[in-house]
Amino acid sequence: MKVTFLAYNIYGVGGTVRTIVNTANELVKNGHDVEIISVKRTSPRPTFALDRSVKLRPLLDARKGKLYHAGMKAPVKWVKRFLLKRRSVLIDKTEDLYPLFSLFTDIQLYRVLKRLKTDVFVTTIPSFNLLSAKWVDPKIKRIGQEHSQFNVHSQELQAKMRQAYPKLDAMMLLSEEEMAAYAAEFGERLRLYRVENATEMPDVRSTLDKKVILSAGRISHEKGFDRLIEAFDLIKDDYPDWQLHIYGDGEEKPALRELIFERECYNQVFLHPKTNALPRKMQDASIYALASRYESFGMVLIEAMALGVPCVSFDIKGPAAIITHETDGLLAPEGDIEAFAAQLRRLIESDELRHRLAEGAVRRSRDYSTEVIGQKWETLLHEVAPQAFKKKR
Amino acid sequence: MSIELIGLRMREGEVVLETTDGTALVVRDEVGRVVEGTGEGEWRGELPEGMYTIEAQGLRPANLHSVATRGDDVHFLKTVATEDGLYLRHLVTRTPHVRATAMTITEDAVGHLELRLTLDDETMKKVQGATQKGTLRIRLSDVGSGRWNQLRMINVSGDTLTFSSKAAIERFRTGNWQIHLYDARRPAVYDVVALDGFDCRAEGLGQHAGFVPYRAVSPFATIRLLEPIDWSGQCLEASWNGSYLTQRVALAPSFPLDSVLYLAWRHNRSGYEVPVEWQSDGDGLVVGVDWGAVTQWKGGAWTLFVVTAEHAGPIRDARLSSGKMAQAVANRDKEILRSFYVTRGLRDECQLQMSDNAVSGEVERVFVKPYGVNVRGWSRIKTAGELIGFEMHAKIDGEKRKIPLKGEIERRGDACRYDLSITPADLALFAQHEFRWSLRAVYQLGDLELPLPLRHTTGGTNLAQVHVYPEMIIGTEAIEPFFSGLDLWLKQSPAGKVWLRDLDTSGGERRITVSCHRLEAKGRLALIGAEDETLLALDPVESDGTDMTFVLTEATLAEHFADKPVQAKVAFVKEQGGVERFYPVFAEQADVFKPYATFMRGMIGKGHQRYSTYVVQKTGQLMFEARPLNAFERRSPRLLNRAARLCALALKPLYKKPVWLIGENLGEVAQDNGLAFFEYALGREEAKVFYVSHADNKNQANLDPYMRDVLRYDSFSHLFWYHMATKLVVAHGIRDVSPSVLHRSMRLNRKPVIYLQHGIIAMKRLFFNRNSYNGKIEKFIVSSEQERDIMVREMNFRPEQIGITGLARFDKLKDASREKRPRQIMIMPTWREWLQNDRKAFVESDFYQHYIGLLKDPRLHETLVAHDIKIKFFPHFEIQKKYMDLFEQLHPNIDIVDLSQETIGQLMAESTLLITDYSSVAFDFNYMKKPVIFYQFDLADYQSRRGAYVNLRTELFGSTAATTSELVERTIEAIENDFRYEPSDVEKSTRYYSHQDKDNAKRIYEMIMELEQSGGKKR
Repeated sequence: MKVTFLAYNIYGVGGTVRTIVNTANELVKNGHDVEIISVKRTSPRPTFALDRSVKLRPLLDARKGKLYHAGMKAPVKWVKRFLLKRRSVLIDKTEDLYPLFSLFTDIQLYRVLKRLKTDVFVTTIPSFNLLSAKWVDPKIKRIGQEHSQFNVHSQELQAKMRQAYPKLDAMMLLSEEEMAAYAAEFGERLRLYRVENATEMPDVRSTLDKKVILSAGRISHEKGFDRLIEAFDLIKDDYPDWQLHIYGDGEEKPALRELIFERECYNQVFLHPKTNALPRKMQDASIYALASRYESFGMVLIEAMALGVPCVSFDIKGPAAIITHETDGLLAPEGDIEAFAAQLRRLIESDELRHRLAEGAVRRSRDYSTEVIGQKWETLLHEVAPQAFKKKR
Repeated sequence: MSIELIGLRMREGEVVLETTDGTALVVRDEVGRVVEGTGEGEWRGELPEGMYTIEAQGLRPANLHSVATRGDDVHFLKTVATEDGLYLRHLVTRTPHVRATAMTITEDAVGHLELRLTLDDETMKKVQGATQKGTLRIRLSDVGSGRWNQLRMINVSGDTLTFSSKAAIERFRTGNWQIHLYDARRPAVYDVVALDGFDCRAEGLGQHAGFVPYRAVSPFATIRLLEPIDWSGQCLEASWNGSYLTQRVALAPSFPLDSVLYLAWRHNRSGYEVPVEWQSDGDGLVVGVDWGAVTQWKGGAWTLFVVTAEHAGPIRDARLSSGKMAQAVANRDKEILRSFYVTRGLRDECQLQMSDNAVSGEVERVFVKPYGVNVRGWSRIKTAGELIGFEMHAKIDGEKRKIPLKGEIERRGDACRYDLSITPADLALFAQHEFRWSLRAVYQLGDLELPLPLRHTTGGTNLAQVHVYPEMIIGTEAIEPFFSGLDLWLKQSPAGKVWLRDLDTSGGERRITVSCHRLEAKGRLALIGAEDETLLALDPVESDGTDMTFVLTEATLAEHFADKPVQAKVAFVKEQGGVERFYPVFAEQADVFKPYATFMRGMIGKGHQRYSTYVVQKTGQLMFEARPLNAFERRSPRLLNRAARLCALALKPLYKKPVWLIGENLGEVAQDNGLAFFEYALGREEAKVFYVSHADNKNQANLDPYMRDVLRYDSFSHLFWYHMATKLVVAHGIRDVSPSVLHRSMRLNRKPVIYLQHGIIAMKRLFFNRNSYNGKIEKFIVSSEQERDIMVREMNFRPEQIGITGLARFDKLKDASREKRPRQIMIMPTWREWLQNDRKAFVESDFYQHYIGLLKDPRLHETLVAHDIKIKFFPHFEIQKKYMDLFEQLHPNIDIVDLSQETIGQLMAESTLLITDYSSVAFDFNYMKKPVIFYQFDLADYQSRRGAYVNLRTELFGSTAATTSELVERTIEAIENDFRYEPSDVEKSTRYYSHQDKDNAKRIYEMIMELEQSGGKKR
């Protein structure tokens, strides 16, 4: 059957993009027709390897030189420039990505949603879910996705969701807690499915013999890299050969740099620009550390675990659902930096612990393999759109 | 006594063998019978087809061959030296005239190229009555690199044929033929090509025994059928002594002793060459390279090339074994250590691999503290050497400075651990604002002390972004270690900073308020020029401990900067530690000063010269500039332009003819292709043409007869006709004809541009961008297919963008040399821009030495007097400016050209011979079918600094000389030959000019008219 996704920017990088790419690839493998509508386009081809048969429909080509092509007449250019500068009205102001939308993308979204022809339409952020409920042809099976708790959203948004979500044919959630919260809110009016994010299972493993602690992500307050540096700083002098490498860019990077200088750990802590080849770097690491203050899922943990790298994280929702303490990773009480440092120390000192946890990690990661998650998708699609499901390629 | 076979040919049906003593040769046929020969000093006799042996007492064998035609017969002769003697093979083949309709070249998996010619029906009928189409196959083996897709076959008896993969072949006759092969993609790469067989085996053609065993060489020159050179040797060992690398290469004794060897590094378009010294010592050759003298130290493969009298190509050896341990070579001046090893290239070329990995190491710890910087790590070099100390180097105030540093060294195996410190005592204060120290480990290599950089080779490659260290205030200085590439550096700058607080304008005065950070607020505000000189310094009008205010008035500025344009940094100057240091003023947040972001916005003054202090938005720096307003900044040119545009808009539909604006070099001259084309175009009716020129054109005399059709640059009629123009025809650039008010917006240009060019792109590496002027270069004029290929290949032009018409100025070339008495020779060197500006260096330079040597040569003087010939020495304008006294009083027959008395055009017309090195004047001269001698004494240097697109050694017409005595000899030869223009030069020239006539301007005109009629090309 034909499945269409709506994503913000499938050409970029990030957890959501990776998830959609993995899902799309898996659906293609299972014989479905996949199309992805991408609000923005920032490169000629998607960064993550997307199956070539997936059709891509960008709504705004934001690449250098592509916004206004040379043949465009001046009035058209002015109109486009005006629209691009105006803030969006359709997207909720509390969305993370709100500033990146505009009146121009609003118009494009309206046009594409109103004319949409497909079997199943999947939307990935609350604003998209709402628009899908409002404008997409009811004959199309509309599936929404949520990556956060219901009550994390603003009151206004919650009200809109209460009103609109029951119009959707199904809602996909990531964890048990979310399932419970949504069930409490919507009861029977909204079909709920728990489908985690999937990851490719690599066939290589880390040798766990390089003295490297790795961490990666967008450098923002919620990802908590400052806590990680403070934790490492507590133990760095005992292990002068060990290094902490952080990959990523973000608005907090200069502050992080200042912290490194302040703690004088610049010979052991290194900040790298964001990389598209994180799995390669993970292979050369012995420990993966996640010090986020808030994490809706923790995709990166599964990627590290799939490569046989034991993870240390604070005990917060998301990672806690993935890691079982002492079996496939280590957790420290949220906010307790010394405890986090202590867990790092344990892994540094004991080869045996590292290897044991690595084994557990690999086993656990299989629960999130594309095959397992792909099956969940098949179930979901079969139940939601039984007619169309039969029309397999 | 030994006899040597030196010649082999066919003469009047007889085979002739030339030896040093012809009488002693004995020639036997296949069954051993002796063939009688006659001749003195040579062996002559009738040898029907077959195999023969040649014997003589003490005969030194040689591999020779020759090809001769007699009627429809082609005779191939070849001697082959083997262990059991010298053989001679004579082969006769009968090949008809063939006509081919298509040609393809294919390469098989082993790199053998095959050339296929599809023969047409008529030919097939002639050939043994065959009735179907057939192919003629020629195997080209041993091609070094590139794809050969243009083939030219020439018959030496006069018929010339050219064909390319697109065109069909006109006539093809086997016989005494020469082969030219071009690599259309990379002409700078040339190679040895072996043509193994000329095999006419194909369907319907039957077996044609046209076997030609020979080795063709140097495809960029006339390939003559030469004796094959047998490279069979081994690179045995390489050793070095400081910067001199010696290598042993054992080669067969037939290696000609007058050969020139050099190492060449080739990568895409650029090429560098290093001369190689060599000598033969019985076992083979010993090759030595002085890397210390080399200016280009490129990493990668350097191929060993040899040039003999008739051969040029890489030395090949299939048995070459790749390097033993890498040796290292040091360049003391550049303070570089590179490692080398011997290797074999893809096609068995003898190569030296140079790589930058001779120095490795790890910077393990860098501690930055207020009391100093401490660096720890280890270092290793790939050769025998001892780490003896540490230094830091910087270029400060124009000088190189070195400061020794203290540190501990500990040897661990072949690496050294180091622990060095930089303390405040090491950091002196300098006037220069900011500079960088390179940290060095000093190694003792033999008797050479080499400071090599401290390197971190175990991390990734973007160390600059990842290994980041804090800035520390040490004393009065701010020190920050950083990585540049893989090497560790220290940045030193004054600890203080000066921030821009406020910019204010009132009553024609500019008030600048700054605040000092970590710096005592006592000092002056200064304008600092490009060479860090203080142009103006002001005392503050207000000061409150941290903030200071300065005032700039138009009057003060007019006093200092009224006459010429000036650009300067605005800085705070303060005396510290006996040195006056300046601190450039920056705005912490540049967008606060957006109202002062451009020259116009920050401007004060009302006179002709305007003054401005503005904040560069990208960096936040406060800058000062004094200059008059540009045309696009002034009101009246803009208004004029608007008026002209409106008029043109109104009148355009009424004016049916195409309008072309022609110009050269920003409208300042009229002497080149622009003028030549203009003069022709005036004689035609189809288009309205104008020449655009400034009022003070340097060649006003040339324009005087045409003033009715000359537009004054920036006048109303210029603007009007510019907007009416349908094509812009320029020699140097679009600004030759576009009005000043539009110069800033040339990237929005909508008018098609025809680029007439002002030189031949072959000798000099130039670069054009096919998308210039908003991609509107409709046609780029060139003189030959080769030039077009260079444009397409190297500069990405589309083939349709190139017009092969020939340069317009060639039409005006007149040869007046035949009648002139006394006859004259012109010597015109190019300027080498890398020659120093100081007199001593000039006098010691190769350039001066060679030319003065030539001009003072007594043999030359004798010849000049004997034949009544004058020499006109025409040095470049730059030399005339400064060094003319060095060329005085040479000889009564030698004149230095006075530019005010004679023009270059006149000189070229009147001279019978041109001696130059790399000047493109040679092409104009050669166009008139007059001989040129290229004086290339510094070819390797020129190649490495400037480079050319053709092989300057073998692809030029005329003759070349590499030494003064050679040049004198060639000149004397030319004189004695009555300045004859060689027929081989006719042939060689065809590469450079597709047409040699006086219709170039006509062709250009008609080409542009065609474009007009077809509506031009839509992008």
